[in-house]
Amino acid sequence: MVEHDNAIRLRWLLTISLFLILVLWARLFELQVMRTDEYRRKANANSIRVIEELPGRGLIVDRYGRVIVENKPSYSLTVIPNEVRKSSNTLEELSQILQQPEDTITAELPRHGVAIYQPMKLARDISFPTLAALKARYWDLAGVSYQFEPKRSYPYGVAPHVLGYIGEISEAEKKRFPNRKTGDIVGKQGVERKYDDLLAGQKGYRFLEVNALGQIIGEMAEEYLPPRSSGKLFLTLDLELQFLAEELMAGKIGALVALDPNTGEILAMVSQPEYRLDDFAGVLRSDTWRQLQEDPGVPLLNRATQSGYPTGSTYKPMVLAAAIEEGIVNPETRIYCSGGYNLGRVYHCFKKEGHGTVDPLMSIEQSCDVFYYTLGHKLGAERLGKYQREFGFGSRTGIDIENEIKGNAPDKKFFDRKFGAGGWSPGLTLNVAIGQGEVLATPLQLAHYCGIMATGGLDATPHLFLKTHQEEMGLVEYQPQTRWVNIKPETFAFVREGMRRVVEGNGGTARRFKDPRWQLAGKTGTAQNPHGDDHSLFIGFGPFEKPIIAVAVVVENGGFGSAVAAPVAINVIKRYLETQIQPDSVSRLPDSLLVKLWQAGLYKTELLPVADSSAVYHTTSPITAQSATADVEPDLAD
Amino acid sequence: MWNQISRIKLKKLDGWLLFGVLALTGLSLALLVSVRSQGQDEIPYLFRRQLLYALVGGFLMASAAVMSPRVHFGLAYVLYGICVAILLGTVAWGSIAKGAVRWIDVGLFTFQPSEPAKIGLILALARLTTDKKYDPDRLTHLLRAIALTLLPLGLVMAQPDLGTSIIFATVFLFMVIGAGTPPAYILLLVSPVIAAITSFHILVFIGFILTLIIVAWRMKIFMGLFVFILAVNLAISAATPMLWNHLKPYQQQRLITFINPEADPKGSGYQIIQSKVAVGSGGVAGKGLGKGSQTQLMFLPEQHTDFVFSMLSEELGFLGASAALLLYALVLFRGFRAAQRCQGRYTALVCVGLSAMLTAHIFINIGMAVGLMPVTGLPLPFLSYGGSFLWTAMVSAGIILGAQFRWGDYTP
Repeated sequence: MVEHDNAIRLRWLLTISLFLILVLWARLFELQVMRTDEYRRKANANSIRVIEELPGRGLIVDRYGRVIVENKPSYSLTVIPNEVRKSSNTLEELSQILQQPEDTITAELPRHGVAIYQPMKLARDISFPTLAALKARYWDLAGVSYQFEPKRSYPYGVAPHVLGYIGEISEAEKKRFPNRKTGDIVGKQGVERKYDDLLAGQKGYRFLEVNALGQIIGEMAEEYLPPRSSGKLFLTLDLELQFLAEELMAGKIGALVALDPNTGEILAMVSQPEYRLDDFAGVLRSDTWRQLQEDPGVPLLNRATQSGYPTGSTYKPMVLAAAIEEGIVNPETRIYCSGGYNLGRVYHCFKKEGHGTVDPLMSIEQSCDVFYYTLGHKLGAERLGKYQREFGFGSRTGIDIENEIKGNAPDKKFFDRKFGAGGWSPGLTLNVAIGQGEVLATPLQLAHYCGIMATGGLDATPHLFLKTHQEEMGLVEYQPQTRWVNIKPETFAFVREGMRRVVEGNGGTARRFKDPRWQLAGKTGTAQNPHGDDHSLFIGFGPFEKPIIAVAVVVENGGFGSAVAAPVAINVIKRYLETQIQPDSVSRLPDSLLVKLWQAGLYKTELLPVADSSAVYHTTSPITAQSATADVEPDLAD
Repeated sequence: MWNQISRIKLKKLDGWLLFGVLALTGLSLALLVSVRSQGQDEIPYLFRRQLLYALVGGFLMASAAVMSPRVHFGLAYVLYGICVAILLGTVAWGSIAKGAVRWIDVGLFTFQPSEPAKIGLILALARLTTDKKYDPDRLTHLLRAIALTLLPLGLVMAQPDLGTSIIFATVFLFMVIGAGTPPAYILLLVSPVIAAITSFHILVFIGFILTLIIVAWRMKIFMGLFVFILAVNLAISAATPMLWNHLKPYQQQRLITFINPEADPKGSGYQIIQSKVAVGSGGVAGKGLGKGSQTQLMFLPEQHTDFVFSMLSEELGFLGASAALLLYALVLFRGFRAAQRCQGRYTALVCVGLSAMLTAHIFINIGMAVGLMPVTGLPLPFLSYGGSFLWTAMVSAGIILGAQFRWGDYTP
């Protein structure tokens, strides 16, 4: 009995032992067979340290390849927190080199986690004496190193709003740039942001084998990926023209946009006041940043795309085109201007004594308000809205920089929403007809609209990107996006003639800018500003017969359009024409003959630049269905 | 001497056990060849040391096998006494040196006195519980065995060496079961430990108490003992939280980390996590000898001593680790089987104790490597680098071998 009992007990003990072995075996199966992928990943992360090597950002050049943005070397001081912490000597030396107290340095070092074994940037863009001091003591300082890091350099400091500044990616921007991580440099504004992918280049990676102490024990040299810089990014800007435009706008507050109406290529874009891109090139000082943020002139704002202004009289060619299209106005139409228009109350013409009898061409030339009150009243809000949209107002132009605003092109729907259906006076449409009241347009929209007038109906999306040459993609060129607006060529011919007379006519509001070499056209504008002096506006294009440049200028609180904005715009146009066209190659027709021809119905083919389309328009693509009316809802949030 | 050797029946040699021991020792040497040395050595330093330890160990194993069980039967209490004395000496020395002392430097090598103490305790316990006067049914006799165990257990705990004290406790438990202690007493011994652990969670504790009552009922324990067991459990469980609250926060933290090391990824949790990464990343086939990135790159400290199994699993994969486990299963199976075949009750119980010790070492060490057990610093039999425990394990194997030689001969 006792012996038997013993045997049972021994069998139990053996069973327990073997069961424990079985438990271990099951656990091994779980770790090594079921979950091996998970642990392989962890193992690799453990023993391989990846060192990034930064590429230079791609150069940005103008349309002729002249460098606007380049790179210059800078150095960052990096430390491995774990190793620096270990040695008080290293900390002391570091504090001397960086001229910072030790506490400040240690406060920045992480204390836990894998981060303590990874190199981190302690100081960016260190000065040359600092680098020299570091190099001199390099071998005594365990865990301290420096990293080459190209930084941006702006040889001319032009076009800050177009180019945009760069900086370390913020948490919020990680959605916009999913492939980037903390510490990476991304474009914050303008072209640098929009084309970050094309500019950033590819980081290089060294793969170092390290042990648990973070000591480098070898390099996987065959895995090394050298950094690859991006190719040049060609912008549509004309550097010379940009220079001139900035010079002319200096000291003013406002914006200028010059573009090629045939392609939508932006030749110059200025927003004043400006900021210095160099301030953002290295490490942005916090006081500089605060100053920029608090400046009442808002220098960081790109007024060309982010500020809406009442358009003033620059709206009138559009309203005239609308009236002709709708059959309200024909060449024989005459309206009497007594200096005011009565609709509930008297709406005054800027010329208090009145223009007398005004014909359609004269209405543009002399900018008679009463003429347009009449047109506005007859057209009504609905139809005014339709033509505003047709000319691109109230929607984004689609330029390739971010945060463009829509402006506001008021129509019936807008007024109904704002004042309630039927709750508003038709007098509001009178204000719209002279570009006042609820009308808001960006200088870019004005230039784009001017371009449509210049080409007689070609709506080319404004853009800054011309082409780029990238290693892996080869040559990438801008794909033009154009459409013809839904307005008859005869209408354009007539309206354009009016705009020509603004400069060329004897009573034109910009007649003092007449140039014997070319016929120019345009429209002055003076926008009433409830907050201060009137804004001065001008849109213009040239040469009249075959325009290659359209310009819009807005000067805040500048006074009369003819006085401040017009000379700037005309100068830009003339300089561009001087560089592009031999003066005697442009033929001139007498004004009176042009009008007679048009009245005889023979004029349009002669006048319309469309006649020579293959030479002028770079694109022969059919009118794209891309519609301006798809985006008509004025976005009040803008 | 010759008289002893001449009684050996070579046919009775347990070849499987010998094979298991030698295969595992060979495996340990193979792993050490791959340990990246500092570069200058033709033959890696650790490998040479371990080879020396293994040769000495082989000699000790042979000696233990050849020696008649009657020798250690006679010397059991003496050996026990010497071991306890040495342990007492180290603890005393440790209190003077104001630090943990587990090792004694004897010139040529350092030596861990708790190693022979394991064998000393097993021999003494076997001698005590197989004595004709020893009555397993009497609680006072069981108390003698407990006292015999508690003396060295307390001394290693004072070193402090929690791992070894767990080994002593396991050995004691296996041996008193083997010695015929009634299940009710076993229950009385085991249940307070569980009561202390479960007392932290009221529902788990209630579950445990209910289980205890059902088990005790099924065992048909008489009423007095039943009530006593219940009372002890309730008292322990009531006292534990009070004791816990008396501990200083860092002590509580230490206990929490001991039970759940991954709560502290910087301390002992670091080793467990790295060990699991090493084991898991080995996969089915392993990375090859010497190619274990985790162990070779020192992500895992103590890779060739306490965490040798992680290295083995990483480099030889699931297949290699399974083979090692199979060898251990073989050794344990032969060890307990030896206990069944022994003529004498003393030798049988010695075999039980030695096998229990090996079992505890294997489970605690490998359990630690795969993240099932806390970090205790217990070496793995035959595989871990180092002399002390290798010799203990080999002498144990030798005693088990020797217990089976003398078929028909008188053995105690």
